[in-house]
Amino acid sequence: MRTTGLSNSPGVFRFRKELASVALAIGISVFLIYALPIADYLADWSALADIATGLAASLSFLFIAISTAVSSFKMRETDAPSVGTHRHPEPTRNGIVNPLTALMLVGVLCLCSLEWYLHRDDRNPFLASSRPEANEDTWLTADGYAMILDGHIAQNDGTFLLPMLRMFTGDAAPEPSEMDRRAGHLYLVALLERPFGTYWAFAVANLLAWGTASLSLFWLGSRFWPGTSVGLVGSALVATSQGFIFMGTAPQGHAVAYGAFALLLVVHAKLFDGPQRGSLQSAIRLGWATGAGGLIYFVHIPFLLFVWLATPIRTHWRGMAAATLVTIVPLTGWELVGTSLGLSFTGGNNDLSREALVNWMSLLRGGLQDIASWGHFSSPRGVLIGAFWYPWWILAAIGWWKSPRIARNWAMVVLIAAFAPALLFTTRFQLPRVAFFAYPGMLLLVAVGIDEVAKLGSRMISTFGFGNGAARRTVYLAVVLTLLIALATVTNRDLITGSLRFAVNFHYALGTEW
Amino acid sequence: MVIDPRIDSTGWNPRLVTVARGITVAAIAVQLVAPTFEAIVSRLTFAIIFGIGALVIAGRSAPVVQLAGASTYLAASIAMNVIARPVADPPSTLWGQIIDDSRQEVAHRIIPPYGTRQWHQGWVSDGQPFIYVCARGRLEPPETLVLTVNGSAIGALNPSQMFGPRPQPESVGFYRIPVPRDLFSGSPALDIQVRPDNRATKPLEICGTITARPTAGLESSQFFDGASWTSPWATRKGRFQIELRLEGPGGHVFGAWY
Repeated sequence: MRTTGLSNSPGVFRFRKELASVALAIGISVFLIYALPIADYLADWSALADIATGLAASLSFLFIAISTAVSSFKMRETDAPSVGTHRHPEPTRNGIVNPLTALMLVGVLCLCSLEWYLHRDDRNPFLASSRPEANEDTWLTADGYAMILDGHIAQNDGTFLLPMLRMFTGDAAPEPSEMDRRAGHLYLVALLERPFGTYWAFAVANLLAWGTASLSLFWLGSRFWPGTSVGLVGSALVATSQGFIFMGTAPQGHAVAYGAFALLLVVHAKLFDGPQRGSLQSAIRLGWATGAGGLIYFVHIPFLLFVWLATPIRTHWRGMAAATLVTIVPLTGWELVGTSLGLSFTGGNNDLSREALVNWMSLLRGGLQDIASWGHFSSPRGVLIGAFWYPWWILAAIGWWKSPRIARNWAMVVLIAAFAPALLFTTRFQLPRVAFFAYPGMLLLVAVGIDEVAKLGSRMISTFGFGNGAARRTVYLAVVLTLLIALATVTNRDLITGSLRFAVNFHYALGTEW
Repeated sequence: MVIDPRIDSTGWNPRLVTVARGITVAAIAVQLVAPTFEAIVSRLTFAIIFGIGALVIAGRSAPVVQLAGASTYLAASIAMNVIARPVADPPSTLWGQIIDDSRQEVAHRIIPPYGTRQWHQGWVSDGQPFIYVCARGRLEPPETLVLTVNGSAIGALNPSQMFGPRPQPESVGFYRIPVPRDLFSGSPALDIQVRPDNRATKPLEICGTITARPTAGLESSQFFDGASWTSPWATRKGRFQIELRLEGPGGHVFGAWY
């Protein structure tokens, strides 16, 4: 099996900028530790390590983002390939997804459905992690932050979505709520509400997004790591991922937004890798799709960040500007229509984002001491580890190391685009569920990591004298399946042992715990 | 294993695309048959926004995919108007039961989940059982409620037992009352009574909420109004907020049941 079908194979110095960014970030983080004000937590090595790791990770992403933005500005089309500039090998047009792969994709979709079904009702991790035994919000009742929807127990934020749903179904007049900007999600749910009922309509919308995300990752994996099993393994990782399991049947827009984000990455790859690459028409189309996604929940922010970092600005700035401006059209259009219908478009995440920004201004005015303290009080490491636990990071690091440059850059830009808003928001709330928007980049890198470990296993078998192809393939498959099952065991720990640890980490972030 | 995800679209009938677009337009038209003006406007807005978005996304996929998507959209649009199923109206998650007569009382039965791993883990870790009762405001004897479990008087609720945030003095919140472990030996169920202190003169309020996982059935909560017993399940699809928790050192909660 080939690791990559792309011509730009890794070279010795290929990671120069990224490694330099990480080294600089680690150095500064260690320095910042000395800037911390005297406090009790400084006596605890694990707390110090938490601060240093959180600062180093955040600064690494910041420096890589700056480096990427600078490269993107300096780069012209004729320069070395990068995300969005490199013309991928043109599809041969005679390929059909082979039956075995199609069968495996059906299997992946069945796996999504199984996870979704097993985590329904009171087993939904979003809801379960709010129960007293999760030891976070112990002042809540034994059911946690719950409501009854169509006879099913469900996460209670769904209450705030029902007025908007009733508006679409025509059951009630418009009623302002904090969710007015997420009306796109409710429109989709309204399409499902009559046949499925309210609870299952939300749940089915989540499942459809889950399946869409799985198939999108298959497509993206096959696009950026052609000729490998990365896409297939990536799609299986989505099926058992913490974020989708956590949202599962919850009456919330997050899962649909995750699905929309992956779909937008597919659209971006299609519109910016083909003959229409960078054209104004492509940019306008992309902008409209982004705005539509933004009406589901939040998708436009990480996606526009991705677009700006992934596209050579100097060559395509007009297109990027057009895409950004067009993104605003559906968003503003709905706001104008909604306001005329009596909706308010106030409160909720807008206020919280403003508060997060105000907190950042206050931190920056406070100088080094306050910035260093952010690493403790805002728990950036906890947010990143809450979204993806350590094994995912280790496998992703392997995958990043072994990936071809275009794929590596693409995945890194996805990570930055998703982590940046999550980290910026930490001054108000720590939300791993926002950081989970990085899953297309993260899980595909994990898939590469799994692929590499499996290849190592099959090579080791060769050295022991079992060198025939069948044995190597068997070992390869066994290692891939073992790792997939091991990771799925972690994300399904709530079902297997009753432990809510990973659900709690995803809900509230880790804090200073390791 | 070589995987090629590219779908050959050259073999499909291009007229399928036209048909798919026609079905999409029909679906939008069907959606506009809505009972209210606001529903028509909001549906039309999103049909346009998502419709164009779908064209962008699906525009380069196989025509059969477009056809399937458009047909599903049409089916959902028809269902919107044909099936009569209003959006669910969830029962209230917080309500109150006023107790303003010394004869009134609230009863709640809990069957501790003795055989479960969760209970066993808490019990062998020397977990301390607590009864949680939610009531409004700051209760100070004699203007308070009295707790009885399996006929044994546990005590009167007092401010030292208040648990959790109370933004206002009159906010509702839990009272956390320790109960002896002996209560659980040989007793399959806990019969809990909450009644006003004999000396109480002011009305008191016990909170109620939804019920989804009762240990002793949906009608395990009962209210005695001085003359007869009624279940909040029958009247409000709910229960009183009276719960059992098993807690370890530092307040670690092993489990909570009602």
